[in-house]
Amino acid sequence: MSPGGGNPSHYADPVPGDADEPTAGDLLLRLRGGDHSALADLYRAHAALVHTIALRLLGDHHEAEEVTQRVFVGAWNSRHTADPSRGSSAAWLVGITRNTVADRLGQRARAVRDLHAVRDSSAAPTHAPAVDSSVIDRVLLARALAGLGEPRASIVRLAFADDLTHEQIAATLQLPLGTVKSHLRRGLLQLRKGIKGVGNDASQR
Amino acid sequence: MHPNDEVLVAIALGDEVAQGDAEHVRGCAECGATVTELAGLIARVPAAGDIDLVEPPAEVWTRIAAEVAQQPGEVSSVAQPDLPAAADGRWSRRAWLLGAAAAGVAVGVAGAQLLPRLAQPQPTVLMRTSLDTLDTQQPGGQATLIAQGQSLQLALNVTPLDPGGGFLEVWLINIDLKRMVSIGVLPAGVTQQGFAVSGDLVDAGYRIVDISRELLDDRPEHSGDSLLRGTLV
Repeated sequence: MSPGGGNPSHYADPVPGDADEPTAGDLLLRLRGGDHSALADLYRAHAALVHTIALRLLGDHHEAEEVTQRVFVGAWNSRHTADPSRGSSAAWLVGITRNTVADRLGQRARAVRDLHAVRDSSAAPTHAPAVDSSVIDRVLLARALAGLGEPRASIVRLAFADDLTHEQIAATLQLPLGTVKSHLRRGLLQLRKGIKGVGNDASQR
Repeated sequence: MHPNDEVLVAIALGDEVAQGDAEHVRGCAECGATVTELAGLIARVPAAGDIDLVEPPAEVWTRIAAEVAQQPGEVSSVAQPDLPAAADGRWSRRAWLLGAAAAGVAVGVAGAQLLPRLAQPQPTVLMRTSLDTLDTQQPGGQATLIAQGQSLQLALNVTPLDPGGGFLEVWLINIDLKRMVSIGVLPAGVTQQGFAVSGDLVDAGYRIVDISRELLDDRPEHSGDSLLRGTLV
C-alpha cells in the first residue's frame, strides 16, 4: 500500500458516462464466460468498496478482509448469476457483500445465543441483526464523491459539508464563481448517477 | 415539457432559474420529486465526506487468486490486478498520513509525505479544519489547506474578529504543542484570506491553525490570547 496514491484510472475521467458504465456489462459477460482476468478487473475496480463496507459494518479488520475474500470468491462461484441487464457490477457485488456480512452477523448472533442457550432452552430463535443500509449508502456516496475528481470533489465538500457559500468557495479556491456553480451542478448530478441503482439508496425510485 | 436536469439541480442548489421553469417545477410532481431527491443527496454529503475508502491489504487478492485458481475456468492464468494505491488522490486530508502509517513510515518525522501531493493541476483541498473558540467551542469559521501547481495555501474563512486595540495574527502550532510559527496577519474586518505555507512545515506537524489577538508591543511571541483554533486533518 503506497502512501503516494494516484488516481485509479477508472476514476480519472469526470465526463458523463464514466464510473464503470462503459465496461461494466462487458466485464460481467467476461466473468460469466469464466475469464479469470475479469475477476482481477472486478477486484481492482471494487475491492476498496467491498472492503470498506465490510469494515464499517463489522468494525473488525480481520473479518472485513475475510468478507472481502468471500465476496470475490463468491462472485466467481456465482458468476452465472452476473447479469449486466440487471444492474452494474458494483450493484451486484454490493448485494453479495450485504449477504456475506449478514451471514457474519448471524454467526455472531448464534454464537452469543449458544452461550445463553445452555441454561435457557426458551431462547428466542436466532435472528441475525439487520445490515445497516445507511452505512452502505454512505460508503457508496463517499466513493461517488471520490470519483468526482478535482477540483469538483473539493468544491462539493466545501459547499455541502462545510457550508461555505459559492462566493466563499470561489475566493477560497481562486476560481470564477461561474466555474464553482457549474462544478456544483454537474457534481451533484454525477453523485446521483454514481449511487443510483446500487445499494439501498433512499433516493432510488 | 419538463426542464432538463441542469435546471432541476440549480433549483435544488437554490440558484435562480427562468421564471417559467420555476413555475413548472412548483406544479409538477415528477420534477418536484427530483428536486427533493437532489436536496436529500446534498444533506447526506457531510456524513459521506468523512469516509475514506480503504483498500484491503494485498494478501487478500493473493488468497482470492489462490482459491479461484483451484477451480476450473476457461483462462488458465489468474491475472494480477494492477492494485490501486491506498489513497486515491482525492481530498487527501488524512490519506497521506494514514497511508504513511499503514506503510509503516514514521509519521511526524519531517519527510516528503505531503510534498508528492503538492503538484495538483487543479486547486485541491488537502486538509481542512473548522475553527472554534477555545473556551466554548463556538464555530468561528474554517481553514483549508489548498494545493495548486507548486503552491500551498492556507485559506481562512472566518467570522469577523475583533482585534481589540491590536491586530490579528495567524499561527501554525506544532501538534507537539511545543513549537509554533507565525504565518501572517489577518487584517481587521477581513473574513477571507489566503496565506502561503510550505509543505515541509505541515509535514513536520505544524497543523494547528490558531488566530490570536496581539498587542502592538515589543513582544513578537504569541500573546496567549487565542480567538480561534482548529487542527488540520
